[in-house]
Amino acid sequence: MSALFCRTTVRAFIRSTDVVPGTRRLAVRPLSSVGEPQQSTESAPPPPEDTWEDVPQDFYDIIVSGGGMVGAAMALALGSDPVLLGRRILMLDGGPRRVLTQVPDRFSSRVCSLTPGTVQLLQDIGAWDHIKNMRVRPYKRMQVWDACSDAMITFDRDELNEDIAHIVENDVILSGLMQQLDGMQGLVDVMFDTKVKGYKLPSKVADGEDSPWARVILEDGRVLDTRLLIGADGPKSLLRQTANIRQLSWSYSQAGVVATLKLSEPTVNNVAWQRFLPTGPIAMLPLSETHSNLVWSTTSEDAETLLQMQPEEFVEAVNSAFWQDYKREAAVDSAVQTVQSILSTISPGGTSARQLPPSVSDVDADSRAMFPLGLGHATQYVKHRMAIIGDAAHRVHPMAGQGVNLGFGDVSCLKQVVSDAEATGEDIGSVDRLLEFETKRQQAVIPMMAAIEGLHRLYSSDNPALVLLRSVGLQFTNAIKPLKNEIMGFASK
Amino acid sequence: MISLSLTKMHACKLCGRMFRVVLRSNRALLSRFNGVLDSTGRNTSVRSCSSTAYPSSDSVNESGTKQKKTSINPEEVKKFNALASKWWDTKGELKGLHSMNRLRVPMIRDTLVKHHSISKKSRPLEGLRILDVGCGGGILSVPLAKLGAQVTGLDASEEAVKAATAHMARDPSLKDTLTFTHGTVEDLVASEVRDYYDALVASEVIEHVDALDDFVGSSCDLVKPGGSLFFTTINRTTQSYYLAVIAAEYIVGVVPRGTHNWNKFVKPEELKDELKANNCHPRLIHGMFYNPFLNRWNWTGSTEMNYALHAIKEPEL
Ligand SMILES: Cc1cc2nc3c(=O)[nH]c(=O)nc-3n(C[C@H](O)[C@H](O)[C@H](O)COP(=O)(O)OP(=O)(O)OC[C@H]3O[C@@H](n4cnc5c(N)ncnc54)[C@H](O)[C@@H]3O)c2cc1C
Ligand SMILES: C[S@@+](CC[C@H](N)C(=O)[O-])C[C@H]1O[C@@H](n2cnc3c(N)ncnc32)[C@H](O)[C@@H]1O
Repeated sequence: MSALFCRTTVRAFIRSTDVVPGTRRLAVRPLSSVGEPQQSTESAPPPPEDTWEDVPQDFYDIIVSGGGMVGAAMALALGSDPVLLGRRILMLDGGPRRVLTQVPDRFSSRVCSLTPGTVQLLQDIGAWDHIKNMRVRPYKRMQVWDACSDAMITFDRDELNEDIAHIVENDVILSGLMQQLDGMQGLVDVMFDTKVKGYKLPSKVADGEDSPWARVILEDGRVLDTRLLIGADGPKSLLRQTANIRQLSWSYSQAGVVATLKLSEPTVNNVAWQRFLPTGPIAMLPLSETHSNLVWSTTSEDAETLLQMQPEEFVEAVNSAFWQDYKREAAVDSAVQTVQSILSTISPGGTSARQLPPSVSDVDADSRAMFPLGLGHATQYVKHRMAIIGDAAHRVHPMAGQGVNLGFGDVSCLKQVVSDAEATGEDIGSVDRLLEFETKRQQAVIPMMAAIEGLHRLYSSDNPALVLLRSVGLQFTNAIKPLKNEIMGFASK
Repeated sequence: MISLSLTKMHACKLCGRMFRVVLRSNRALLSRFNGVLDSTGRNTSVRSCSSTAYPSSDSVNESGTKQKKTSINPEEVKKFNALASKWWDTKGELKGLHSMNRLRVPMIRDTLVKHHSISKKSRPLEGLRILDVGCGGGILSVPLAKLGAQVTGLDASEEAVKAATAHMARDPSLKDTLTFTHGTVEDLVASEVRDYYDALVASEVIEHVDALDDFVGSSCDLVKPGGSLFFTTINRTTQSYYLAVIAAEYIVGVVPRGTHNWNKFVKPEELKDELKANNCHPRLIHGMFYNPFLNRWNWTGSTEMNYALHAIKEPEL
């Protein structure tokens, strides 16, 4: 689990300042036991009958519905593929065009940790230079340690000579993608403030159907047909619901708190820190020499309290979460020490020295926000003439920072499948071909979700048996280089 | 109307695998085959490049010149007429032809791209004229047209041409690059088309035709000097014989045994000889192997079962 924490769409957050004290501000689902699978009860809204008969105003080879980070990257990837040159591609979004005219002095508290795989994709589609010219912060090391024992693990690449990931603000990523799209006129059509009212999908055997194409019906009444409809319309995906694709969802009775932190004194700040507390992981991600981003997953009640604290109180809470000693079991301590001494005999130098995170002196005004944590997975990613990508297909606990990286992984994979189909003159919307995308991505996404889920369970406890297990596990993992590389590679898929 | 339904083992082609073809042959169909115009008056955009009746053997026309023999084998064409609704079912009886696209489309594309030194990646075959002989429902014609080529699909089965035309009409991107025509290569030659196509494709067709020599001769006439001819078919070997017989008896157990079709299978040497006799030079021959369980084709070194052949017509000096 390398790169951590990426946070999300502005709308998903509830800002501390928006809140009237005393009112319940958050839709944290009061939930049963952690991780209990719940079939979500979403069902397709009935199609507005009168509009289905409408004649399409336009035909596109590919429509990407949803222009968040994942949808915008998808549109760019398709638009810059030479094999698809001349194909008509559209990206539409219900919101306004979100581009930064200048980089604000203050950091946004919604950031992503982009893995090397994601950075490669952003380079390939031409957006990385825009992003880098705005603001990115690479880091070279990540340290993960346990509050209930001395066990820890560090990740780095090539003895700190290489970056393991980049922390980038969501606004900056989206803006970079938009800037690149601006230069793609003629290759990709873009529509903002264009909300989709409904979709109509054809069944598999096209001949004999009313229309063999997927149909998009816009709120303004326009109708568009397409060979391939890609839903990048976020966790509540209307396309997923219309296609009757079931979504398994879990809700943790937990919430994430984010904020921009000011450090007590400037440092090189090239390490990402994550400490497992019994209530959930807390992480500090570098933004600059003077600032870091906080991602703190905790119980919903604690999150509420954290949001309402005075700044000094909040800073105090953050510092003690990173430094404070927690309840320790003598048995665990001695086991950890024994393992440590064995490891240093068999693998000297294999474990690196433990460092301590910088201390925090202030929190940016208005930067505190919280959001509920949940996990969702669509049982299918494709049907005839359609695919869903990004959060529409899978939403994970932000602990692993994989949310958006998994979405960008979808983009690379789907682009390749579409491009290969086009290069052999095949029907790019044929489910036969799209299934290749589903198979490949589920092989990457499902183990990741399982690992995140497992870690979540393992760490949200101070049960000595689990503490022992995770402590010794961390120690061994830390000492064994190939295993660590495996984990880092895994996290950048 | 009497409607007789016979189940027949369709040995050979399609995929080198035996499978059942249920022939629903009724009078209307037979009479249509015999040249009676479709009386339903349905509006199809099927062009017919010849009169509806085909001579059944050598015949002499009014001006006294000898016509070529017809390449049509009525039994075979009847089978394909009956398949009309099956062409675009990618999981149906003809799935072997759909999956074969993964092999033959890249072969045709890459050979032409190399031969014509094409560098563009999108619609690389733009500007090339391709004749897809025995196109059936257009399973191969459509991807070639999507790659940019100007494709004419030609087939002796009127029902197949109708199915192909109906399928094509649904896709706006094909209307400028793809046309389907009812007829045969000898019809085209008779209507003075010569040295016209950059490439001719006859995939899984020659094992169904009569008078192979004339069929190949006419095909070669239609291609420009320096142009390409692509064939895929099934070899006449002991392997393909056993497969035909075993499959016929096992799966169907009824009269028309695969052996009948087996006699029409074509050995690579025979095809090569016909081509050479018409100034066309075989360049490449490749074995193809079909796995019916995975519905997947692979290239193989052996041409004992299915094979693909590429030839080039002698360029003008
Ligand atoms: C609460 C929460 C916390 C998260 N925390 C993290 C984290 O810490 N780390 C991490 O890596 N990831 C996190 N994620 C996930 C991360 O934010 C997403 O992976 C990322 O935003 C990419 O999502 P997306 O582009 O697939 O969807 P979104 O960003 O949701 O974009 C969907 C787009 O579709 C548009 N749209 C939707 N419906 C319609 C319609 N009907 N018509 C027109 N347009 C429409 C919307 O306007 C929007 O622009 C979190 C997500 C959530 C919800
Ligand atoms: C096995 S199908 C192959 C279809 C197509 N080439 C493909 O691979 O998808 C053989 C086709 O050849 C046609 N055919 C048979 N004899 C023919 C002839 N003499 N001239 C033209 N077409 C012929 C049949 O009607 C049938 O549609």
